[in-house]
Amino acid sequence: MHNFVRLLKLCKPHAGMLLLGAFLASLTVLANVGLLAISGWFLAAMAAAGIAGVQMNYFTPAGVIRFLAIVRTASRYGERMITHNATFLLLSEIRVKMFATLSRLNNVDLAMSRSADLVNRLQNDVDALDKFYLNVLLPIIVALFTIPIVMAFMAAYNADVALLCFISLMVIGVLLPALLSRKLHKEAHVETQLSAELRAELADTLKGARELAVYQAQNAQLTHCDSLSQQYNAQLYSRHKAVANSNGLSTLVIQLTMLASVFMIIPLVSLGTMKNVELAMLALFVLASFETVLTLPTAFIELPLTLSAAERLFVLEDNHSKANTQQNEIDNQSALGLTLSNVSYQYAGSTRKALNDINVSVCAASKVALVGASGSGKTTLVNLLTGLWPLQSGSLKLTTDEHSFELESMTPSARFKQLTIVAQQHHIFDGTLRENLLYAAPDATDEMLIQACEQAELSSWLNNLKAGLNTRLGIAGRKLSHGQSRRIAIAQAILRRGNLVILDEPTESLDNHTKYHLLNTLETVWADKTMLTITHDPAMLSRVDKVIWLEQGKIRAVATHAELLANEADYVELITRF
Amino acid sequence: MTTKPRPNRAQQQTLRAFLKQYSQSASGLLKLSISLGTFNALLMIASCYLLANAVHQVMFEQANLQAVSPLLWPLAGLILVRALLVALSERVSNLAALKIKNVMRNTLLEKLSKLGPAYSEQKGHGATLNTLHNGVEALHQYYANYIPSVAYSALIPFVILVVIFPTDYKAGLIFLLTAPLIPFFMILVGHKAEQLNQERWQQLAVLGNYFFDRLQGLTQLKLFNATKRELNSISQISDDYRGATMGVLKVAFLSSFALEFLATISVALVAVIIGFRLFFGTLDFATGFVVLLLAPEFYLPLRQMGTHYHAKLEGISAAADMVEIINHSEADEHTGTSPLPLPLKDIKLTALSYHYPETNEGVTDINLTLPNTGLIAFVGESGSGKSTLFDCLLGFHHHANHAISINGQPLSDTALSDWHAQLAWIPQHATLFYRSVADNLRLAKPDACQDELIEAASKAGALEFINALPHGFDTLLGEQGEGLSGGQKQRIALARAFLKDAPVLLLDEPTAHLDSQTEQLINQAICEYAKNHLVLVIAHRLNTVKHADTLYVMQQGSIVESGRYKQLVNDAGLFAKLVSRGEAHA
Repeated sequence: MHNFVRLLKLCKPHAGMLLLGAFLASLTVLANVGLLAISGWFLAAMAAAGIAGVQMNYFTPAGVIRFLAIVRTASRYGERMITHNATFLLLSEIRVKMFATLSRLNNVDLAMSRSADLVNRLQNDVDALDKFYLNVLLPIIVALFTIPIVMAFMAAYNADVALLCFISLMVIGVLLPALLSRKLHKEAHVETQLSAELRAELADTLKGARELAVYQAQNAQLTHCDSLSQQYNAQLYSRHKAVANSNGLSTLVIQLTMLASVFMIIPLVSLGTMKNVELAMLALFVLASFETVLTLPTAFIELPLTLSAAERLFVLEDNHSKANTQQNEIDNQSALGLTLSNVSYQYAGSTRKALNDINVSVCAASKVALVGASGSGKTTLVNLLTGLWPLQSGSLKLTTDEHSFELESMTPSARFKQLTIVAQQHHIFDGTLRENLLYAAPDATDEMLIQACEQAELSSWLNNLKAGLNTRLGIAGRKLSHGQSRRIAIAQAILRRGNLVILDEPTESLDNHTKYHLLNTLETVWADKTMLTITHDPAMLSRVDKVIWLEQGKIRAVATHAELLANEADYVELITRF
Repeated sequence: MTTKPRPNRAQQQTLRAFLKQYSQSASGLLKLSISLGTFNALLMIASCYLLANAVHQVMFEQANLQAVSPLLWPLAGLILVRALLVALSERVSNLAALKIKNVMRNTLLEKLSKLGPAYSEQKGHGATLNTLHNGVEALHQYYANYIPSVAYSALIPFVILVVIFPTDYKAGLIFLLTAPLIPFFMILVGHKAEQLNQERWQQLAVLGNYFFDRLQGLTQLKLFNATKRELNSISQISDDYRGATMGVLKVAFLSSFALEFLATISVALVAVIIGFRLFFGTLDFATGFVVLLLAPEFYLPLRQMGTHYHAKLEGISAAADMVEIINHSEADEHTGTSPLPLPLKDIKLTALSYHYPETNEGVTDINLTLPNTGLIAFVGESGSGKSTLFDCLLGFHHHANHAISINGQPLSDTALSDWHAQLAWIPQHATLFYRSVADNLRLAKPDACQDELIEAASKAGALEFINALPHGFDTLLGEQGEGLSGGQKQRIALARAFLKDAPVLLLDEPTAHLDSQTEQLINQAICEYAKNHLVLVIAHRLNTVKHADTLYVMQQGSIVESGRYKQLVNDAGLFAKLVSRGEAHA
């Protein structure tokens, strides 16, 4: 309930539009109910008048019928326009809020290590919230608004019939959907899990196609996939069965209610306490009254989904309000040094420390390389340096000649003004090349962008693009090779003006020629900056001032490349790759 | 979500035909479901008659409850049966959809395994996986809802007409005259509206893509200090799209507006005309009331078909990807069936060339004679053709099979399974399936006993850590071996290969830097195996090439140097250059 109220608060800025949509939707429903009931009455009255041979004013009811038909159609059209517009307004509101919340959280809370997972979940949540108005709020308002009106009219003719009809409306609109929704949610997570299992197995089948063929396990694997697919189907069928049963029951309740009210009215007509024409009218009125709860079942089925999506969003939001307050702004124009003391880090659920008591410092304007086998802690160290992962123990300081600043105490905006980071997981945004580059430096001119591309050894690629900077990249755009996307990341880094540059495998997937030129350029561009690079590339290692060698979360050695080559056979083995 | 264009009308025709063809496997069920639904419509008509007659008798013939109860009780019975029919018909159509999806998925998987791994790699694993999983699921609504609704929109109005005409042909004429107006208007408005509707879905997809793309790149945005700016963009873009989409919707909703308008006006018209005929006594009330009750039901199936429009489009666009896979040329499949003469003694590659379609990458004119035992290493820069050569050796590039001869018999004539029986294969990133460690090993030898598993694991240096797992060999491995380190996964894959004990082991060494202890362990195990077997390795590590009996150096798809490590270093050719990059200063 609390979350529902919070969701309603989100809707507040657009309340007028939302209510107008609900009003039009109600009008559509009422016009339709009225149309059927009056048609029934009109037919009966005309027949009665015809038989009795008396005159009757048929212009008014015939006119009303035509009028209601037009009202119904027009308000339906208006309703769809307004409600969709409102949905979009709300959708934008929710997305902006969600993005704002997420952007303030640190990466551990976001569990960014499994970002595909997170994005999938968010996508489902946003989809659920997108439909909040159309599928949940609107049907509820319409039912709340129209049921009393319809019931009041019905009760004016016969209170018993109205009561019976009201009970049935509740059964159809609330009870059955609530039961169905409970059943569906009990099984929803089994369904999700089976679906994920099937997907994982299909993914393995594709990825392991060579192994399956060589080990002649293809048929066994296909059988395995088939049996998983059958299991998933069986689970889906249980849902479809529940929905089908519920639809059958709805038919039963609606029709029986109509029949029961006919049973109740016939004696009254026979006794003469009710006009005969009202029998035909009420029979149709009862049938038509169910239109008021037509969309309510969807609302009840979607409501729990929407609420749990909202809860996740609100929990993230509340997390933030508890988050620490960083306030230190530093205004520094020169190269920054870096000092790590007693830095340790352990991932949740892991038994081993990813970083174990690291003590090292990097002088301002020096060039340092970080090497180590996979799992030695290099990436963890870079993650900590971004400040997006909370420091567990020890301290990370940025140093100038006079001052030193705890990384944690700086505001994100101050921190990222000082840091330029090219991470391993680089994201190319869906948009033009220009848009991608401008993310790094919003004020850069086209000349600056092109120059950065040239410096990142992209000019021959760029010159071959027909649309130049307007070339679309990302999922819907041009496919990039790994080397190209690395170089775009470097171009973006060049555009930024950070005083400490951190690069994760910058020369990966580049050919020798390109690499040679690139390294020369970077040396010039960042001559007066501090540079910390994860690399195993001998060409790059031979150019740095100092190599920090990590092994299993600890520093194995800090020395020059030449010293390590001369004294450590393991080092030679580590950095030699074909 | 997808931004790829929806198929046009002509393509939709073909795709609908394709989907129809695949409904064969459950056509009985679909027909049953439609029959049940149509039978329900018949009972609905019957109950309208019962109700109308009961009401008529009470109103105008002074019948009391007792007099009409012979009409009302059967009506109750009909209602019960109808409720059952509604539930049954829906169940059966869903069952049909489930069955069709299953057949479709199996067909796709079989076809993909025939086409070989290169095919799905070229298309991208992600895209193929989506087709297999979400794509196939997207067919559900198409078969379960859309197909029956098409049948009902033709059958039910027809049935109503057939019943009405003998009772009162004039009322029937009203239906008959208004009915064609609906399809007519649907076609007239629908043509434009369908196009707009498609745009609408695409707009939504674009909007969704933008938002989720930015979410995915959220860390990147933080690193660029750009989250505040992006927040404005998101709100701006949402607004722009709202404007654009509403413009489209204005017209798109017109089609449903026209449909609703016609249906509602027709019902109103029928009511008014019948009212006047009743007034003038040219029609009895029971018939008039039946017509009024049936009027909305007459238009309902047509209106409902419109609500499944989205299901139809989703199904059809999902089908496009499936057609592409299933109709892919058979020419790419392997056809040889001759048994392979054993034991293996002579593997020869003669003028082997293979190039990927549309690129220059591949291998050119490879001539090799492989020994029966020993460690043979292949080195070269990325893109030099090592992986392509290994894929050819594994028999996955069917067009190159004629250039490979085994014991004098071309691979193109040989049953691939016979050749695969002689091989073991370990890729850079071994695939560990979502099963126990033991089952992962048994993939190579399904009937292996526990002792064999232990022996293989011990040879691969994996026994110690497997025993340390919570349930030893019975420990369930997570998705992609989650919870194991890279080196551990590699050793399980090695154990799997050792378990098969195949005469030839092909291995693509991981480029990732494993810790030095693990690297040494694996290296020893492989050298040991190479004493009695042939081991072919794509080498990335110095230690491996030092131990190799023969080294082949590849460049741009050709073998340019060969020999032992020392010899090649002394020759000061390409290999020496590759090595010196690491040891330049040693």
